[in-house]
Amino acid sequence: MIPLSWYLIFAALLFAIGLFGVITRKNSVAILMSVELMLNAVNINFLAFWHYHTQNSGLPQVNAMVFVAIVFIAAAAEAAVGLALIISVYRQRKTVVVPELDTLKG
Amino acid sequence: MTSTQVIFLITALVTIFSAVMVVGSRKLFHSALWLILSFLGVASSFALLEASFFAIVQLLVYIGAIAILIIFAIMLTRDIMEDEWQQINRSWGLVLILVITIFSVLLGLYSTWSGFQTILNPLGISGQENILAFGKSILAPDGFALPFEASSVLLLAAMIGGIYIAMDRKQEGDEA
Amino acid sequence: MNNELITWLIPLPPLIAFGLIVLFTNRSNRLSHSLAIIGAGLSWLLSMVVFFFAISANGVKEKALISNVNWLPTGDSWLKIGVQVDALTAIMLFFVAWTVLMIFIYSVGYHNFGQPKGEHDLPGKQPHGAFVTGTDGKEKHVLSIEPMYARFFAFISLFAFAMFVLVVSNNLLTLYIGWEIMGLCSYLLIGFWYAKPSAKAAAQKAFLTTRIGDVFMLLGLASLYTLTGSLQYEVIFSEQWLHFLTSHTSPVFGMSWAALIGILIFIGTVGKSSQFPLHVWLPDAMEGPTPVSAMIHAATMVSAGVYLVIRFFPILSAGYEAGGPLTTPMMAMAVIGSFTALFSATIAVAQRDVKRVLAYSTISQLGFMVAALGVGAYVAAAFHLVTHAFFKALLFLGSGSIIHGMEHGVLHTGEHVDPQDMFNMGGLWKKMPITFITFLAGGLALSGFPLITAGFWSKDEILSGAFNGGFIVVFVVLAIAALLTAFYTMRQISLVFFGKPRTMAAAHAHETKWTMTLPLSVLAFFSITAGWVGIPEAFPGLGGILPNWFDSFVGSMLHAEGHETVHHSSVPLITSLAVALGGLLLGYLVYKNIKDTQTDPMEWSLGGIYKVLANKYYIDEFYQWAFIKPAKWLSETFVYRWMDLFVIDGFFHGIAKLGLGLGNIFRQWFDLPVINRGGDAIASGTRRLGADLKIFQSGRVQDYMLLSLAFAVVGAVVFFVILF
Repeated sequence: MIPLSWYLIFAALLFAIGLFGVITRKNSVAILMSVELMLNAVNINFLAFWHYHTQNSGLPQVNAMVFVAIVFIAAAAEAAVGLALIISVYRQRKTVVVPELDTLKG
Repeated sequence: MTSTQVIFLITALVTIFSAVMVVGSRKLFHSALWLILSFLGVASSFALLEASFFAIVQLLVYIGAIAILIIFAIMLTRDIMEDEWQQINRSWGLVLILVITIFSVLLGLYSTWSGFQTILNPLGISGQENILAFGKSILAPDGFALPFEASSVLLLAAMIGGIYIAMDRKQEGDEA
Repeated sequence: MNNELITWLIPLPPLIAFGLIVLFTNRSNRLSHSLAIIGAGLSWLLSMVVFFFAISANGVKEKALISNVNWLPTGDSWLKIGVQVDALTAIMLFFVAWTVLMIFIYSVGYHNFGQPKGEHDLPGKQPHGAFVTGTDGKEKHVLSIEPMYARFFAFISLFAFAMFVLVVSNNLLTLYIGWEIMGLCSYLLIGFWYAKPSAKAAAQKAFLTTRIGDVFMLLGLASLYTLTGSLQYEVIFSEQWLHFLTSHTSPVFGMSWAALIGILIFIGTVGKSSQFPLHVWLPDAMEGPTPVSAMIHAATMVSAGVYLVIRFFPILSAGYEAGGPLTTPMMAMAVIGSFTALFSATIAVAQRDVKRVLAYSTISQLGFMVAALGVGAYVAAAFHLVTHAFFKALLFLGSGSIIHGMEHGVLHTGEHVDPQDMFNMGGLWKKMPITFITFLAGGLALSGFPLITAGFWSKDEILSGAFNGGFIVVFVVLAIAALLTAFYTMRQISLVFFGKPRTMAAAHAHETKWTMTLPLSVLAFFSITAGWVGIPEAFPGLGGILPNWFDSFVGSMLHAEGHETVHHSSVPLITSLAVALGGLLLGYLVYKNIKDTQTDPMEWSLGGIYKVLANKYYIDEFYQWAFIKPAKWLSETFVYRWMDLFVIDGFFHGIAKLGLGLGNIFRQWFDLPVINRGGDAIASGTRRLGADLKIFQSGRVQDYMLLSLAFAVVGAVVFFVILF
């Protein structure tokens, strides 16, 4: 009963907010949180289309489900490694504020 | 407006609101908590989409693991950042414009699609059937066995990598 | 060895001697003078052979001996050069060969061969004397050897070569070549002591003055070649061409071609034989060594001038009939010749330097010859040419001997007197007897002392020719000149030889060596006897005893017309006797007892005129003002300062300045601002751009993300909205 467009708009909005957070927040952990937001938005999008396609074809669409599962896995792995990196950087430079990590500066 | 739509709207609003709070909150710990709430909202959205398995997985993985991990990280890097000063970069205005643009572009692209307005009706297939199909496919050699195994390797690598990166070098222990 | 070949060989030995001396034997004095004398001797021998052939029965009286070779191809014919022996050539060869040989031998002694080298003697300066320790232990100052000994002999060998070439040539080309080489040698020899400024100036004066004459002569030769197409005597003096030249008119003053060419050729003689107005070089040429003066002014160079006009007589006299009016060239010769004769005789009277007197005397005698030719006395002119060569060479060599004796006296006594001033001499007949006798013979010949001297016979011929031809003005002028000649000659002899020595130097003079006195004796012999071959038939008493060989021999040159000088009256004879004897007596009386070294008695008697005569009528000063100064002004001021420095150099400096200015402009306005600063601007602009762009490299990942996202969005917008 809910139009597909609602889900899609919802997912886009969530994605946009996550994007805003990634570029804007200074703290690395906050950036990671925003990335998780974006990934969630992606998952919503996938599942909305899964529903749409399943509804259209009458058979369970396995592709979408596998894709969503992979996204889950990837998000988890990336969160783990990312946080490990943040810990490591914290140890080295005593900061997790991204603007201060500017050794790429030319 | 059916009841499902109402529920959806409430869920969406909550999620959006907590997402905004994640990004805009001054204290980092509050951001983490708002993140957990947004994960919840997303899980209920999954449930509304009749992807029941994934709703549970969301709760388990995201809230149970990732959010906890984030809170750990916040705790471990606690004493560096003062919670009072500016959390947002200076160029947030530009980014706002950019993000709005991206959002508009996305919507514009969506709206050209013919199936945009289709109503999602409840599926005739039971949730169990979906899970069964899913389970079969991720183990079937002519299905998605390979990506499944690869993602296991990914997790393993992430585990090892995470340990290695975060290992305290001051101890003289050999790494695994 | 036939006579043509011998004639070809006559000029060669002195040329070879010149080459050898210049290239090889320069260092050795003995070798050099030996080579030169051998060369002159060989030429003398060959000339005598040819001469004796020429005067023999089958000789050249009827037909000249001619030999030609093809030399220069000109289109379809050849320019030929060759040798020719006819009567005129034969007598020229005779006296040239003898005088040249005598002068060469004399030069050995003149330049003090065998004497030690002087301490202060340098090449280019006259030798100053050397100090030797005598047998009595005292130091004596003696004459020293000439430092440039070998060079002298090289030059006079070249000179002899040139004269021989001129004499034996049968065409105008080799004649001109010999003429010009003689001009060169006269320059080299007059300026022999080149460190002396007066010698250098005199050499330039001689060369330039004769050059003026040579230019006109060349014009004459060129027009002759253009008209006749040949330069050979047998062509240009042929009947047909003579007729052509007389009948066609030239574009100059309406004269016939023959007259014009004659005048032009005569101008060459005016220069070379030192007639008025180009006579100014000859007295100054006394700066050269005395053998040079003898050679140039007696034997060879001035004789070449007279030889030229004698040779050209057919053209000069083309159209002249005996008794008729003179042609234009002959008139010019008569006027200039007689004027010169009188003019320079008057100057000679007031000269104090022994060589100057002889120089002016030469000019005067050449005037005699030119005037003789001008009135048509061909044989007389040739006769006087021969005899004059002998006695003038004798007189010059004698004066050299006198000067040598005086110099010895000067060095011995240490007196600082001019050894050449006659008023410092006197009484030398005792000290230098041989010189005295020979000089006397020459002087009497010059004066025309009757019967026993050659000069008498030749001068008498000239006067007769003038008188009998009806040219009374010329006759009178020449007679007065002869009177003056005798006067100044006796003046010279008296001042030098008679009386008592006027200075210590004169008292200590002594006779010169045999190498100098032998030539004097030989020439004295010829001065006396050479006249006896030309005794005219009409001479009272002696005429007819000896045939007038000269007249018939040389007269054969004038085949067609046969200008025989016929002696009608005895007026010329009496006149010549009177002027000769009278002049000699007058000179002796005035000058026999001069004691004073300073004043000339003529000064008192002539008054102001003496000064004019002594200064040579101020002609040199006039030429200096009229020609030299304007020429100098032209070259120094006009050409050098105005045209060269101001215009031409100014032009180039202007171009240089323009170039510099342009360069500066380019530098200031283009190079510095555009190129330098442009380059700098590119560099600094790039740096600034880099510095500006560096802002993007903040090192902050979020900024990079923002940028990439922004661009992606922009790209997407462009892609989807605009392109689709």
